[in-house]
Amino acid sequence: VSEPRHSMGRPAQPHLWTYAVCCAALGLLAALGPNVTLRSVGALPLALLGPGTALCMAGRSRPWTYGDLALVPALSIAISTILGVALALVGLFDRTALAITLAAASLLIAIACRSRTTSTASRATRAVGPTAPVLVIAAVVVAAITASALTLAVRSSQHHSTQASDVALSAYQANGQLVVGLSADTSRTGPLVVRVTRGAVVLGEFHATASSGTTAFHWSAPLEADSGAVLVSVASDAHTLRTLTIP
Amino acid sequence: MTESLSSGHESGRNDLASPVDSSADKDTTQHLVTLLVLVLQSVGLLLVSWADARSRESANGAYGLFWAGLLAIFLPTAWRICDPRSSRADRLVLSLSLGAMLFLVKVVYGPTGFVFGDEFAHARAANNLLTNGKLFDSNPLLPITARYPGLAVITDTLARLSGLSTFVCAVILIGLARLVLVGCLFLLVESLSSSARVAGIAILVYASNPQFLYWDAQYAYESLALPLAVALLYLIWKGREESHVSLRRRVATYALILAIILTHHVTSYYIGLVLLAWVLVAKFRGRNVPSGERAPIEPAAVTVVATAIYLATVAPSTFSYLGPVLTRAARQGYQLLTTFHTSRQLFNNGGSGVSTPRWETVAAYAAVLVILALIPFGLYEVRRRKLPAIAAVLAWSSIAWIILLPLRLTQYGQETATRSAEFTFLGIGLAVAIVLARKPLADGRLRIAVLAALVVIFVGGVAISFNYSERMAPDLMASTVPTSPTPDDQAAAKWLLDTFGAGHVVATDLVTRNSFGSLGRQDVVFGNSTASHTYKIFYSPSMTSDVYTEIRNARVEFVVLQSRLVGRHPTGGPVFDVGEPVADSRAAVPAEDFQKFAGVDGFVPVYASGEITIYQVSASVRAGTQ
Repeated sequence: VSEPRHSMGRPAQPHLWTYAVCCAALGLLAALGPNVTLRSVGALPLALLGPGTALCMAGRSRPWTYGDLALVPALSIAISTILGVALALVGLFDRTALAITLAAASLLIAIACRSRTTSTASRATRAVGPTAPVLVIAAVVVAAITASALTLAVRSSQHHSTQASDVALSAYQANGQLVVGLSADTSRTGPLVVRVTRGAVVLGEFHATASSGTTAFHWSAPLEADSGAVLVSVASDAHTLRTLTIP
Repeated sequence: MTESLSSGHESGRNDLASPVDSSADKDTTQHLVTLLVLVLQSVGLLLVSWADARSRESANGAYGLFWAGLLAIFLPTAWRICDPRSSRADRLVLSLSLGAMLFLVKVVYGPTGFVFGDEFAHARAANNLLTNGKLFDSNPLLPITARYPGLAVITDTLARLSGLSTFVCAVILIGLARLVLVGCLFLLVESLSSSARVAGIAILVYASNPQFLYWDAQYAYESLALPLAVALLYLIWKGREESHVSLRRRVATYALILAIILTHHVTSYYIGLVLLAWVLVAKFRGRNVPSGERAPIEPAAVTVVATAIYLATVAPSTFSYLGPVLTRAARQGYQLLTTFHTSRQLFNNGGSGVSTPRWETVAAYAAVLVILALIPFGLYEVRRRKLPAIAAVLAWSSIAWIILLPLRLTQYGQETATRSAEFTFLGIGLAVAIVLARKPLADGRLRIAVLAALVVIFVGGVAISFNYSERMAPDLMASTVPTSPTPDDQAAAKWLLDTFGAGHVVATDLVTRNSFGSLGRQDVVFGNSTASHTYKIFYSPSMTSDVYTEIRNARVEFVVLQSRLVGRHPTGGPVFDVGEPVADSRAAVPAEDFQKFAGVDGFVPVYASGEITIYQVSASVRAGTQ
């Protein structure tokens, strides 16, 4: 049995320097990127494609195949995992060390095997030329529908989670203080009143208006020892929703 | 040279790399048809997403939308892959997009966070590493994951480098792994059979395995290790023509082997067994081995030795994790064989009382019958055509699926039978595809018959993939026993972490524990991990000595009560503790079992929401002085 050869292009001049610059740039973005977006642009290709690309292009003299492309992420994940384990074992599992190690390892693999890579653009572009406009339109349509599906799912899930979440009241003692907290979405529940009482004595009363939206507030006050149980309650209109009794 | 299963047209000479010739217009039309199928796939995903959205509101029509969406993804793809006019590139692209779309079905089920029990366990492992940078840190949700840190390490590598959340990194990682699995399996089968059509149909059959839709799309170690294993097989097979093993190939092979061993126990054993069998079959065939094929002695030896060393030195607890599962399965399998004693009713949805639609049950049985009917012919074809040793090994591994099939009738064996499908279907896909693609499908009636067989296998696979009652996104506002964590669970878990910190011993039910063990990073207890009997804390109408003893033994610091359990029949499985009496699991929790903590000295209520009440247990209760 001979494997079908389906080249994606012809052998071209080595691109080791291009690869080196890419690795360095991705590593720098991952290590020093000022926000999540830029760091992700560096980190994801570096960890999920970098080492595998180095391994697949290293030492090769024949064109890239679909098989090579399929193996790139598998090898990248494998090598990134092993390097990550090694760094964790020596206590260097942090962002800078990971970025440097992944970029350096990818580059070293490429250099060690005397890289020769190929151009993948010319023939592939030529082959898909006649359908290129349709291809672009179809890609946009597929992407738009898929994005709609994901957006619908996210919105539905978030809306449902918000609807399903309830009023949460907390009260506990810490360092001689009574700490009371409330978490609620008052735009759904209406105005809420939190009362802290000991017997008939009101120690504190707090109002959360309906326009507050999601409310999460904390209140603390000294708690005298052996002075009786404290009742913490939250009410909407005249209905008590939650109570906690601190002995 | 082995006889090709396909025509020259099939074997890939009209792929994207082909020069444009006089048939360009024809090719353009064919590409357009493939693009239309891709659009239909995305429409199918939209329908499934809509079904989940309606299911979250318990609205009508969700079930129909779900199936319409799945069939919109699968049916046009199957039709196009079987179409004799399809090119290799068409089949490869459609196979990849099928795998991706079915992965996204799981994503739209839970698009904003983890939803399945195992996902929370692995998220805890990733959070441990992210927090303290230490390998092998204990994981109370699934202790064995601590010994296999591969998934946590690569997730945390992405999270630390990018700053993205663990969940987003998990989705990207498992999504990419899915593409690797489908891509490498397609290319391996294509290379073994010399036919892109066989490869495409093998992917359709593999995608029909009951674990593909949800289980292997979840964030879990097997979802990553299995694609790496298939990539390893493809890499080794690809290297057969090299006169000597280059440094590059050695590095690639060993990297994959090591990553698999670091990631998942069963996958490392599976790949070791397959490589050994490959060597044995290749050696046994001797001169009959097709030209160019070489027995992978070195990778097989390295895999087996490295796996054994890792098992003995790093992960000996795997014995106590897998041992009881396999022993129970073997014992009940033996009972089934000798006394025809069954301990499980099929399609009872975990005892939830919800009945599966009749047509799904029929489809599931039909799928099994179709596969059973086709496997022998597939094995015959593999032998007749003298396909390579690895093809024979994979195809014959489908016999394991047949042997394990009766275990579905046993309570404990069903897990083994179910979980093995993602491995055995690698062989079933090959064997069945070789039969279904035996002739070019130019004849319309033959193609319809093949399509019908594929659809039956797919529908049957989905029917048994997941409990019918849990197959779509749950309505969290319905007053039912929760099967996945609710927003209130998660808010409470986050409050406990923010207020008291991580690492406190928490006793709660098996669903709520996922939030507290993962998001809350608490040391949740349950019988299986601590040899305690957590259920005794809860299944008692008063504060008996048993309650205090269990709290003291497990050093429980917080008791978390999920009020949705009160007065409602659970889904059929254990509620608090995998070791609890079955009679307790099947009954609704009485209100007094939860009310007994109120007003008792040493149990201070510190948190209350609509569903969750948290009691802080005093040190004197834990010490037994109260």
